[in-house]
Amino acid sequence: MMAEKIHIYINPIACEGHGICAELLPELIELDEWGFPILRSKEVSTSLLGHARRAERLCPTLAILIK
Amino acid sequence: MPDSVKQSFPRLAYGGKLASSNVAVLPVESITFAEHLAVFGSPVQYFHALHHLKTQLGENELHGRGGAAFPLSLKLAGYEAYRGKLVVVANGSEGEFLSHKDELLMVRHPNLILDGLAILGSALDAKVGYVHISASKPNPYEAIRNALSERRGLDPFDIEISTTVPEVGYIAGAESAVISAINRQGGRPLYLPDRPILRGVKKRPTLIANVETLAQLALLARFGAKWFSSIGSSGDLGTRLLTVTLSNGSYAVLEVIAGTLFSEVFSAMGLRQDQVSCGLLGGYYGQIVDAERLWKLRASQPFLKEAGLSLGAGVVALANGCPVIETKNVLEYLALESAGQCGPCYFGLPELAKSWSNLVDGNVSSKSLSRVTELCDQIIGRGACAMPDGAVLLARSSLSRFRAEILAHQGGNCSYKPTSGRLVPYFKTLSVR
Ligand code: SF4
Ligand code: SF4
Repeated sequence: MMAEKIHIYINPIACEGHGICAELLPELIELDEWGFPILRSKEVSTSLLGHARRAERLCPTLAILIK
Repeated sequence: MPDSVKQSFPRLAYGGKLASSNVAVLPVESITFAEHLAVFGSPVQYFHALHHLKTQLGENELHGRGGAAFPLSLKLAGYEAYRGKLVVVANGSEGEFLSHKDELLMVRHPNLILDGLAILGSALDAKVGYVHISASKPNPYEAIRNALSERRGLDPFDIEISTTVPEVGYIAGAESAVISAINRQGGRPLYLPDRPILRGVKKRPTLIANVETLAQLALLARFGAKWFSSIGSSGDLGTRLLTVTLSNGSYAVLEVIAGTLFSEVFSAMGLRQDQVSCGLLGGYYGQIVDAERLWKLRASQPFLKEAGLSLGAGVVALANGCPVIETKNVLEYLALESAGQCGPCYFGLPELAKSWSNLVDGNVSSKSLSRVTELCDQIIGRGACAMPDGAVLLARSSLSRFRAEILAHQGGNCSYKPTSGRLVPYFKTLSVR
């Protein structure tokens, strides 16, 4: 069976622009000029999944969702 | 059923003045429940009639009239799995400052809207329904409240009125903001990325439809798909309501046969092309179009889509000033209307308005121009609601359409006469953040 694709979502209302996510997951997240995250891709590859889950856990406002 | 209502046109503007063969004026007086029954007959036989509804809706006879133009048949199909658990909402909040058609329709045809809500909701065994109305508009509230009391006992489920939260402006009509208001969570948009909305009002699956969509549905259910699609243009059948506003603030709400040329709409209103410089087509989620082009367009969603445009909620706001300055006015308005929840919207929209204002002031270097583009690229797709995307769409469109007019601002060579009217209300000024 093929595994379902894993996606990353950022809730823009919850996000306060701490930028921790961009440090933990620079492969997928860059920051805009105000310090808010821009997703380079919504898909999370298996190799990045560990880092993505870490960002999900460590975001201070729980704005990140991996599913 | 009297044949006069079954006539193909006018429909929602039944009883109103025909301004041309394809354009009718929506009357402003309420139709009482007794009159409604005499004219349209009872809706009861169309309650709990999912199969009938699906047949009449066909593939895509009826598209939503709140702005997104989503086919109602698909919406219905998306919610079918949640039969029996659903909340249905008639969205009459009409956040768009330039739109008045929902307000007038709620006053004129409160019962047709309620019929539509009851027909749609009962087809999916909904247990409760809401009519969501702007807190700043007393007339629709009155009309719906009266209609609900006159028809008490008729509807297959309870229908309540809810209102927007007054401080929330333009974006109060966004679906997630409607849910937030009904749930008493402040009435600002929520982050609800899933469609259909499964955790909406009271955490239940929630189907929201615009009031005009529901009134059209009430007619479609009664008179059938053949009647419904007997007028209109391909891909856009039947009629639609338009709000046409002038820069002095006056407006008209018209019912037009889908696909009617705007030149016919405007001439029915007594307007000549040389009285207008440009128009905001599609309202605040729209684009500014020069008068010459606007006059040749048609009031049809697929036609406009082909041209890279949209009818939105049916708003055409006409202006007689410089399109570059009008773009600035709209961008400033949108920046003020940001609900301030999402960083890219809260910080980005005032910056975007500032970068555009810079062009108006004559700083049109390639650096100033690319600043606009850079901001658009950063902001797009990054709000919880679609509002920032609307601002980006407008800025990008005016940047490419009005390049010559922008460049003319260098050295103050704008060739348009300064005007007193503008596309957006004056009462707010952009505050510095
Ligand atoms: S860590 Fe969380 S709050 Fe901070 S920028 Fe990233 S998503 Fe936003
Ligand atoms: S995108 Fe803007 S208007 Fe929409 S919810 Fe976020 S802050 Fe509010």
